[in-house]
Amino acid sequence: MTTLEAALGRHVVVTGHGASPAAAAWRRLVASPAARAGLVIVVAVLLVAIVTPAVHVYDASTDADLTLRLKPPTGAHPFGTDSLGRDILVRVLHATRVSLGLALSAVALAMAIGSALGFLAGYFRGHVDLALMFCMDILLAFPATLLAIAIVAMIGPGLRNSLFAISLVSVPVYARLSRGAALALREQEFVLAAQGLGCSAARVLLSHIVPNSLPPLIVQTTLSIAFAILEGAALGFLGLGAQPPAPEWGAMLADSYKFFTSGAWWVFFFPGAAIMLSVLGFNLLGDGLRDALDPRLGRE
Amino acid sequence: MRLATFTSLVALALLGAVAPAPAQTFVFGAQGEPVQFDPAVITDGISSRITRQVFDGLVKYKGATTEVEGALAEKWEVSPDGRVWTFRLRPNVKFHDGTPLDAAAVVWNFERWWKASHPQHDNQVKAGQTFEYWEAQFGGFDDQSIVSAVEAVGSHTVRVTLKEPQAPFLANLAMFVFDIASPKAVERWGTDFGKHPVGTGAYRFVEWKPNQEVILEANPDFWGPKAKVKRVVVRNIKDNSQRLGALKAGEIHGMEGLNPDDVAVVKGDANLQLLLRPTNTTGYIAFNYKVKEFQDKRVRQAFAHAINKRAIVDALYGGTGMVASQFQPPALWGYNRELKDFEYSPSKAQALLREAGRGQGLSEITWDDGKKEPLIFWYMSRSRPYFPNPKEIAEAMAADLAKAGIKTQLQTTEWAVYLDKRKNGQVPLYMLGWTGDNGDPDNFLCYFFCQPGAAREGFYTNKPLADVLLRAQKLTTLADRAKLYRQAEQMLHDDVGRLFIANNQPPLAFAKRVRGYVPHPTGSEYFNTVELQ
Repeated sequence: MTTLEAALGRHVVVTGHGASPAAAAWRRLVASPAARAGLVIVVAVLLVAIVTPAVHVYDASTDADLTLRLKPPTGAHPFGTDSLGRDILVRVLHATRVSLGLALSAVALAMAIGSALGFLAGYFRGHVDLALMFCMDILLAFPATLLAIAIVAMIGPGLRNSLFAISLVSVPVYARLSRGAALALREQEFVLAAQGLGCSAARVLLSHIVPNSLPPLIVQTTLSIAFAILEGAALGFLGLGAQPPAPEWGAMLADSYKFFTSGAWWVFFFPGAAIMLSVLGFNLLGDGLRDALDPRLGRE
Repeated sequence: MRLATFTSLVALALLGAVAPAPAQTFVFGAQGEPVQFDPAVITDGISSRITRQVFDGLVKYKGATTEVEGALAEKWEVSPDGRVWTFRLRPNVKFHDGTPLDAAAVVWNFERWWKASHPQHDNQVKAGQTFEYWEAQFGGFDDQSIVSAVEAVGSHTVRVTLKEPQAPFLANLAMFVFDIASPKAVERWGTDFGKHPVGTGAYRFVEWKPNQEVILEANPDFWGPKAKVKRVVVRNIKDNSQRLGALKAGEIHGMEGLNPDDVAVVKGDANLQLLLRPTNTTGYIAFNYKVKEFQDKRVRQAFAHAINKRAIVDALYGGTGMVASQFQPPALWGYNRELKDFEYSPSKAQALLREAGRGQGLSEITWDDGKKEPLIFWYMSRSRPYFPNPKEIAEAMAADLAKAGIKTQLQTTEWAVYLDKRKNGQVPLYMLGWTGDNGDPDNFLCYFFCQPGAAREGFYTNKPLADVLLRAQKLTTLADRAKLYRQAEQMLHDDVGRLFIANNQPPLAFAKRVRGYVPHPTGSEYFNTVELQ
């Protein structure tokens, strides 16, 4: 029976050239230059986030040397120093972990909650579906950034609260997406067969519906990370995210954009570039994944 | 062809119509939105900038000083015991609505400020607006006030009787809050008078476009030097950099609220000029005395030694700041020149902490009721004259404190909420400051320290200090009073009641063609002397 199920389960996944679907998708992904670039950036950013704290100890609370204030980039400070004489390179690198950690955890949380709700709604339909989707529609009715600001304003500023706010505003997308997938799959023969063979609802959901809905969710996750980085930076910029003196890209931008008029370009350029680069990376990768995981492309 | 001729004719006509008008509008860039324009109930500088142009008081400050000279009152005399003040009003002065400025109108204004049962007082209070400054400067309302009678003793003579002499009485009356409003207009508009201000000033109110600008036009019947520029527009541009951008682009002629790092930009720009307000402002850090750790003087001393004020002032004030050793700025006559400030010494700070039994440092505090929490250091979210970039200054101070073993968490909130929390004594450690209103040391010290244990001052209790300040208020000789204020500063210093960080000369930037703008220590300036070249 397991073999049968497995065979049925694989039924919708298109295999190309005899390779496993994952391998085929990977080949399609790396074939695209844009996706390759995205992949390189994402891996690099992830490495920075992981390696920096391991090789360099940074205590933001004592980091200030007013005698080194606003020094342009030099050998000693490749990105220059900020208005408190702090090395911008050090802060941008350490902020990577903060910004990325925030984005990844927010998205993971949103995906877990959102897709669970979506699968339940899509599979069981009826009142559950109605109630859940009604809530999701309400959340979707607000512009995401505004809603995140409102939530943080209510529960108070801080990294943990902004994580919560960002993930909450991302939940409806996952709920909608996974509900759609569940709706399409629940009428498929292999699902009906599994039900006919007496599988429990949990088993049908976990072994058949969830694995087969993963591709769109993976694409959405990658794109969501880019959105979450931006959102995190926006909250930080407004002073609602990371609290001073913790390094965070958005907060660093907020502290430094006023130097636009006095010509100290490096203070805002590097945090801004970090945000741009990481968002670009995740967006390119997301686009590439979407193409690579699209079953219609695979059939050709 | 015909169309072209027509268009050029229209263009010519338009040019002809527009050309003579525009030269005479002075546009000033303000930092925010006014609250309203009823001088008696406002407390903020953005609103009072407008009311100063529209209204006059009995007396005013002379030029760039806080010396008092006549305004609506031509002259005055005081009885030998300092209790009875008789003001002779300038004849033939009219409010903008045509009603005469006479003794009856002045008495009406006094009664409105002073008597809680006055219908135009009562309705304001019910609408949530209080006569805060009257209460602070004249001891309260009705019987609590130091004022015991205000009478018209002729058509243009007003007599004010006090229960006891008040040395800063005239200086107080020159504050913008005690400008005289048209009784007829106040009665007509009631609580909406703040949107339709009518006074006797050099300019009259034309229009307030919320979140954009306030428009004023010259009053041709003004009793004093007539406005040189016929029209004034005060534009609300919240962001400092954006405001400077507008000045550089010629959209505005002058502005306040310059980022410290832009002082050099203005100095280096051939089309701009920099003016500084005389220093009359002090930024401080205040302790909440409901926090057990702060009740220990050695802990407070440790804070005082840990912060490198010199470095902060040099780096973060754009060259316009000074290190403060006491509450009064150096220009005030009660300033104590002998006072020796705490030196910057992290090792001394650590030694003091060890002595206080906190060798391991301080990162958590205990409130009086036993509640423990991390030590939160509150900074304001808004640039103030005394702390032009509060976040940077807070971060620098927090780093200094951390180096001495005092770990704080920085936190801020919206300005109005911040002030509320401070007023209710809910913040353990916070930044704030003061800009003098009337040039009298009393206005700096007494407002804060005359009521020991007040929640808004972090429950700071120093009875001997309060006694000295109250005594100084009743003396009439300047030299005697100065001695007491110097003593008060020393007492405050010895007790480390507060940490005084910096004085500042708030910078203003103008286009080169602006002449005659006189920066005033109180921060409210008259526009009628301004010229555009």
